[in-house]
Amino acid sequence: MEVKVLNISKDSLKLEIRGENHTVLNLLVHYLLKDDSVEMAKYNTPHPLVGEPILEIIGENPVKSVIKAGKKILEDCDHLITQLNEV
Amino acid sequence: MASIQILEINKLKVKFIIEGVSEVFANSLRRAMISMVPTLAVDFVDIYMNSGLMYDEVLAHRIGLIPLKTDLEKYNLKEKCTCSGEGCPSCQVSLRLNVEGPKTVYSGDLISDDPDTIPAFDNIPIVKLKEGQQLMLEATARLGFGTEHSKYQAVCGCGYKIIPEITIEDSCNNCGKCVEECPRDVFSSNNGTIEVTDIYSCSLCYLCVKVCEENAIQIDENTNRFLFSFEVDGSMTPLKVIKVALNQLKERFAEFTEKMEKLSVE
Ligand SMILES: [Zn+2]
Repeated sequence: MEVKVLNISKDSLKLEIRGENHTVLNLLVHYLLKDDSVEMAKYNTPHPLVGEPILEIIGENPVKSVIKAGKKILEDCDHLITQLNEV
Repeated sequence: MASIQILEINKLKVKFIIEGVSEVFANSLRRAMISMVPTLAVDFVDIYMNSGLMYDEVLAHRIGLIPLKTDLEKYNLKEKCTCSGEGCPSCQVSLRLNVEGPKTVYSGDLISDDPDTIPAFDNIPIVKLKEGQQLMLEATARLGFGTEHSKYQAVCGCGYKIIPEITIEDSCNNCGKCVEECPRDVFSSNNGTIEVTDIYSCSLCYLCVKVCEENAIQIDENTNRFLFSFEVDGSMTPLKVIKVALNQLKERFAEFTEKMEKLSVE
């Protein structure tokens, strides 16, 4: 995963996330939208075969929100992994 | 809180429930199991001798599709290997085939350099040879992902469905029409009372709701419970596939949050 910052300001963030697809981005956007401080979060892949997805977030503090969302997903994955290790 | 419960498991098949996560997470997990779990497969074949009737290309394709037992701790992805993609014992394995007709060549005839990395099934037919026909080749297998070619995909028929919550209200007059109508036999009649007995089979067809004259059946789809089921091609155990997929997702988000945390400092 390579992240290129296209635009960053106090209330908006635009990232190009190289080498990833819906698996990662749809999940991230879903967790971002659960956050009340996020006004808008969406991603778009310019071309399904050659394009790299672009993630756009508008909110009170997009960087903080995106870290929070990422950590929430990590937490959910961790819960499942620890339960699987007990099986 | 996310939780997982395994219903049925054997060497090749698994059925499990994930609870407390959204359908988006369920879908990402499904996609991760299909495309983020690497397996070994043959992608390069040196043919020294082929006097059989099958063309070299078709033969190579057939060998490529044979699932190989994969130990992910033992092998690196070729592009991330210390040999920088040249090919070494920790990123590739070669399988030899040296047979003479008359016989049917099976996947079990492939002789691997690594005794642990063998075809998952030894009864997959490759080609039939006549008297005097000979086959001599060396196949090289490497790790790859399902996005590149389906031969690198560890799972088959990987899918999930919503486990709904069906409630039968007091207005039910126990007419038994829903029991008859349901194609999956979700309902059953216990001494004249209608009960939901097999909720995992429900396919959300809503036939029971349509047929109920009293409107006594309510179906709630937003339960955040999902029934997953899939088969593996034999390259690794189903449990391993789930673990690898979850770890892959975790790795991506760990890397992503790390990058984002650096961003906030600047
Ligand atoms: Zn290597």
